[in-house]
Order: sequence, then C-alpha cells, then structure tokens
Amino acid sequence: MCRRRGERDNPAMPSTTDLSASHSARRPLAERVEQALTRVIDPEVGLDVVSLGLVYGIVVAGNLVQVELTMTTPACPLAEQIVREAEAAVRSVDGVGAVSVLLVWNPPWTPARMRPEARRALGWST
Amino acid sequence: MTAAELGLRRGVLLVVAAAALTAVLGGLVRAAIALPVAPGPHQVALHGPLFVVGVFGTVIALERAVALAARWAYLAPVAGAVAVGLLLAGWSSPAAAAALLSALALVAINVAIVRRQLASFTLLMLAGALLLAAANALWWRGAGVPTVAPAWMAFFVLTIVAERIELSRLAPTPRWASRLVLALGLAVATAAAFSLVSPSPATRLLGAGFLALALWELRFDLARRTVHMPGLPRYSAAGILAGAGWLAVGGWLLALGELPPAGPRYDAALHAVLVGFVLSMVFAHAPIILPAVAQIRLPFHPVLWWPLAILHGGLAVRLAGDLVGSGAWRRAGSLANALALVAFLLAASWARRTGGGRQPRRQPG
Repeated sequence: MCRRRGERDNPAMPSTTDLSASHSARRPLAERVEQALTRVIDPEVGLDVVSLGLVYGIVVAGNLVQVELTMTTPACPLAEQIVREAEAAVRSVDGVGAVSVLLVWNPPWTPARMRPEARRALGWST
Repeated sequence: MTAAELGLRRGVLLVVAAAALTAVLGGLVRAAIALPVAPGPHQVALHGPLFVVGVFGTVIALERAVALAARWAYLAPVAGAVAVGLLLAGWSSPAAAAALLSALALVAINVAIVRRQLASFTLLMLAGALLLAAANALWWRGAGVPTVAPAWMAFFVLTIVAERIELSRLAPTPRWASRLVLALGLAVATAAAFSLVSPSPATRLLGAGFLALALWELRFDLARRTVHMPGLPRYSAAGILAGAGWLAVGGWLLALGELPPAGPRYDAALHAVLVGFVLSMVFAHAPIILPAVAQIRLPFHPVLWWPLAILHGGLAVRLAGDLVGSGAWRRAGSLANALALVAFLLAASWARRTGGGRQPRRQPG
C-alpha cells in the first residue's frame, strides 16, 4: 500500500507534534519520515526543508520510502547536498528500508508553500 | 555524483586557490610591500584578471555547473581553471581565450536555468554571464583591464544580486520593490554593455545603478531578517549586508565622474566592489558552498567573524588611504586584506578541527 503524506488514512490520528517520543514508533511511517526531514536545514536561512515547503511528497510502500523534494530555484548549488542530507535523515528512521529522494522542479516553489511557522519567522503576517 | 566528478570539483578549487595566492602576492607587490617571495612581473601585472577571472569567475562557474547537474556544464569551471594555468604561465592571450570559453559555457548554463525557471533573477544571472562573455571577448582581442573592468564588476554584481533577489522571496517584499530591482538590474546590464564601447557616461550610470542596487539590498535583502538568527545565518547575513555597504561606496565612486584607468579613485572603486562586496560574499558563503560543491566540511565557528572583520576593517583603511592620498594607509589596508585571507584559512582550519562552535538551531515561529 502506498501512502502519501497529507492523505492520512486515519483522520483521528493526532498530529505529529502532539505525539510523545514513546509513541513515536506507532506513528505512520510517513509522519516519522517527515519529522526526520525537519532535521535537514537550509543553511542560508537556518530553517528546515519541511517548514520551507520544499518537501512535495512522501510516498511509503512497505518499508520503501520515496521523497519528492524541490529547491527554491534550479540555480541553487545546494540541491545535491540537501538531497544527500535528506536521504541520510530518512534512512535513520526506524523501519525504513530503501530510500529514494527525487529532486523535482514542477510545480515551481513559491513562498505560499512555506508553513505558517516559517512564514512568521521570516516576517510574514500569516 | 561520482568520485571523478568530486575530484574534478576539488581540482578546480585547488587551481582557484593557486590563483588567489598569486593574485594576493601580486597585489602586495603592487602596493609596494616588500615580500621575501614575490611573483614574477607578468603575474603582478595580472593581479586583476587572476582574481576576477581565475578566482571569482571560476568559483561562480563551478557553483552553476553543480546546480545544473549536467556534465557538459563543467566546461565553464574547467575552462576557467585552464585560464588560470595559462595566466600563471604568463600566456595572457590564450588565457583570455580560455576565459571567453568559460564565460560562453556559463551563458549556456544560464540559458538552461532560464528554460527551467523563467524569473527576474534567472534573467539577471544570464545578463551577467553575457556581460562576462562580452568583456572576456574584448580582453582576448587586446582591450586593457580598465576597459573591461566595469563589465566584469557588473557580472559579479548582477550574479550576486540575482541570488539575493531569489532568496528574498522568502520574506515579504512589496511588489513595487520586486519590479524596481528588476528594472535596476536591467539598467545596470545596459550601462555595463555600453561601458565596453563608450566608457565615459556609461560607467557613471553603472555606478549609480550599483548604488541603487546596494540600497535595495540594504532595505529588502533577506539578510535583514537572518542577521537576527544565531550562528551561520547571522554570520552570513552580516557579510552580505557589509558587502552591500561597500557596493554602495563603490557605486558612488564610479558615479562621481569619468573613471581614470589608474590612480586612487580607480583603486578605491574597484576594490570597494571586488573586495568589499564580492570577497565578503565569498567569506560569508564559504561555510555553505564548500560542503555543497566539494564536500569539504566547514562547520560554522564564531572564530570566522575575525577574518570578516579584518577584511572590512582593512578595506576601510585602504580606501581612506586612497581618498586622503596616504600611501602608508593604502599599504596597511592592502596588507590587512591579504591577512584577512590568511586569517580565513586559519579560522576555517580551526572550525574544522573543533567541529564548529555551538550550533543553536532556529525553531520556526
């Protein structure tokens, strides 16, 4: 079965941030992968790729994980490094087998993709 | 990335380091500072091209080649490295031809990037690369450094400002400000193009454009926000904002009047832009770019603030010497700028050895 982050199969599942570490193993794999990706920091901005809206999708099939990641521009030389760090972060999650991180450019990133916490940190009103 | 590709990138950076060392020594000889080991006269004469084409131009070409992730794109940095080798050997004309090839490859990289993302910042990067190619073509055909220097400077300014415009999308920027910076960038590109054929009015307009772009950065750059964050983002932002300040100074000096082909105002204007703005940007981004491009770990450590401070302090002394006509101040400032590079290497080694300082992590919100 493939699950894409954001298409939660159990609407009653509490959000990632509500869960304590002791319950983390029971969270869906896609959520734990997303949590791991918050450790991947854009060094220029000091914020993580999830908050910046650079993670376009997390697909889980058994213990196989595929992450779709973008950059704010194709002119960015950090892409290769961020992909490498994302692979390492995902691989560190319990229960993950093979990892594939794909760099995608469509649709292009826009500031509207940033999460509210990142927008607030960078001076947006919402 | 294959091991061969990584080796190629590191090899290019090694050549860049050789160019930087020779260029610095040549600059010190020019500033009438006695050295125990001095480069040859032709290398002293090529101080500017070594820094512009050999160091900054090749590093930008490497960054873009890595970003595009296409094998053919490595023609740009490799041709830049070949140009360095030829310059060091004293073969200026073949070096200029290699530099032209590098610039043309950089144009092709930027065309590919524009095709992926049509945006104001990708267009300005392409305009900068076209200027570099035009300037290198004239240099190859025998034009002197003072003739092509304004267009070389415009290449760096447009490339860096384009990167800053792109990043500044992460912060709220008024629509008028986004349109204004595109118009300013295109005006700078036009003035720089005209400076290659008619230096007198065009270089003054170019200076005014630099000044306006610097003020835009000081008002709207994302660094205005990241300077309040801890660790690397603050250090990087400080280097960017200080660099923008020097771009304003350089722009003002260029706008004052016709640029003489040598002398204190020429020295001050060029070094305000190339050392104050461009080299500061290199210092500010080295901990970000080196791991990304060459997998050379450079964790941020507070000791990195020292070379940045020496760089800007030294430049202030140097420009003060230029403006008041003090050779002693100019020499002291030049020496401090060279020491800033040495200090950066020492600080980087310290940061690598200690694994960086405490790295407080920014929590969004």
